Amino acid sequence: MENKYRQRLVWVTVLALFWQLTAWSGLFSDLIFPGLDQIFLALLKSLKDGTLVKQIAFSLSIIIQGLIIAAAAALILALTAYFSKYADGLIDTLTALAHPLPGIALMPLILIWFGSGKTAILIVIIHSVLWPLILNLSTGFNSIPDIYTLIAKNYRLNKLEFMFKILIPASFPYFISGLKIAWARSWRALISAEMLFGAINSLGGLGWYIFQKRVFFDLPGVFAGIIVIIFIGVTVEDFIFKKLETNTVRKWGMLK
Amino acid sequence: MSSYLELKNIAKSFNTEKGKKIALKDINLQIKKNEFLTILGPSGCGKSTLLKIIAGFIKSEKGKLLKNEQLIEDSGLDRIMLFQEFEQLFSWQTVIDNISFAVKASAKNKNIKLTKRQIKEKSLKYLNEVKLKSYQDYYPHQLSGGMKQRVALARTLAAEGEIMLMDEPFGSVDSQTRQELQQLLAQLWQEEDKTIIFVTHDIREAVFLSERIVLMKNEPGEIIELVDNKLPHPRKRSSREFNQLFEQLQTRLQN
Repeated sequence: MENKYRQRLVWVTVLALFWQLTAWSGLFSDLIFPGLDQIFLALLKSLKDGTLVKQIAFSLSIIIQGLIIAAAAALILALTAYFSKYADGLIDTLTALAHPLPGIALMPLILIWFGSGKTAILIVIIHSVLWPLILNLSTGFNSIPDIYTLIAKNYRLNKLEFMFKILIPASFPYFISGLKIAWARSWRALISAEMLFGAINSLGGLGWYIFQKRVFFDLPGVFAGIIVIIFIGVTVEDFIFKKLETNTVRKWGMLK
Repeated sequence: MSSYLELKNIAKSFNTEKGKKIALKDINLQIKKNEFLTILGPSGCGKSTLLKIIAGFIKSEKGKLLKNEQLIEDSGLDRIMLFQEFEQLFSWQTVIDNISFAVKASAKNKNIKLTKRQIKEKSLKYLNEVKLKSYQDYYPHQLSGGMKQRVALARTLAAEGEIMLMDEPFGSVDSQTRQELQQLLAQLWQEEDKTIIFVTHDIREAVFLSERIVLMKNEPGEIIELVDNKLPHPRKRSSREFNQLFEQLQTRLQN
């Protein structure tokens, strides 16, 4: 593990050096290929005056809301599908139809139906999270060992007890991998939705921030936004999900 | 004398590609309270199916199952099953929580309210009976196969049912560990008032553990004989009587 991060650090340094040398060489105009110094100055400036922090907070708050709503809905729908054959047919059909549909394809429609506000972005996020989560949860529920249902019968658990004591924890590895896919998808959907939907009171999230920087041809600003997006993406994937795994499925020996 | 648990004309068949296969044919059996009964037979004789019918996991096609002359149709905490598979333990719970699961289920079944401390104390008591008290905070994947089966046995005890059903519970551990577990089970049965119905294909296991042995054959699954085992405890695997009985059963199963 340590080794992985050391390697990454080395390669990031090498790539950064390469970038900086290219910028210094004068091969491209610094208007379209800014040096790292300019990028970091832009980043620092935006962080200091609070504009970037506000956009980060906006983006993160929307994505967290979307994830929570979608996760709750996915859990309820997957559980319903598990216990009812009819619901299973319906939910399976809906998932099969909606899962392959990229959220971006829905944006024009959402724009007309819901306008361009926060609700619109939230809907795009929920769409991109809900289906992969349902798919993973259902797979997880259906692949728990038969022995668990026998134990539930034997110890006379009611449906709720069975759900919370056995079904959900037993399929936790599937839940986490679904959550990872959901996060990756929603993060992409969020940035593109923000670019498309623009801002309300100059608050439009990170996607909008980059888009706006492009309008003013502020390339260091564009790169500053990109760096923040990469940083948040890596942090969530490498730290938050890793921590979640360490404290659950890894501790339980469900993940080698 | 009326018997405690009574199986009357139990039958079961399965549909396979080659047509209907009779798994159990006309099983009649009377089980006494607090006896240790072993169902012994080759694989495919329907002994596990029979145990599942007693547990209420599957239904018999005809006949009936009676306990104290009352018809039993569903599964329940009075007949707790101990499985062979290690995964019967919940991997997301520690050893002590796995046992508390049964303590809580049993209390709820009897409409008793237990405090957190009482649950813990009870769970520890059962864990102590299988001599694994010091492993209470381990997760199942950190234990050896034999220890996992001990925890599973403790959980089965913690359910406080009168009848314990065991489906080759020691089938997946090495022979040294198996003997230790058999020793432990024999001892627990002598200390507690429990009816145990134990399924195995291991003749020595049957001789070592049980008071009565039901011999079964396959195709169709039928009872061929009931054999009493009056060897005194503690039983010695090397004794002449032990091996005599072993050979008698072996001959009987071969014919």
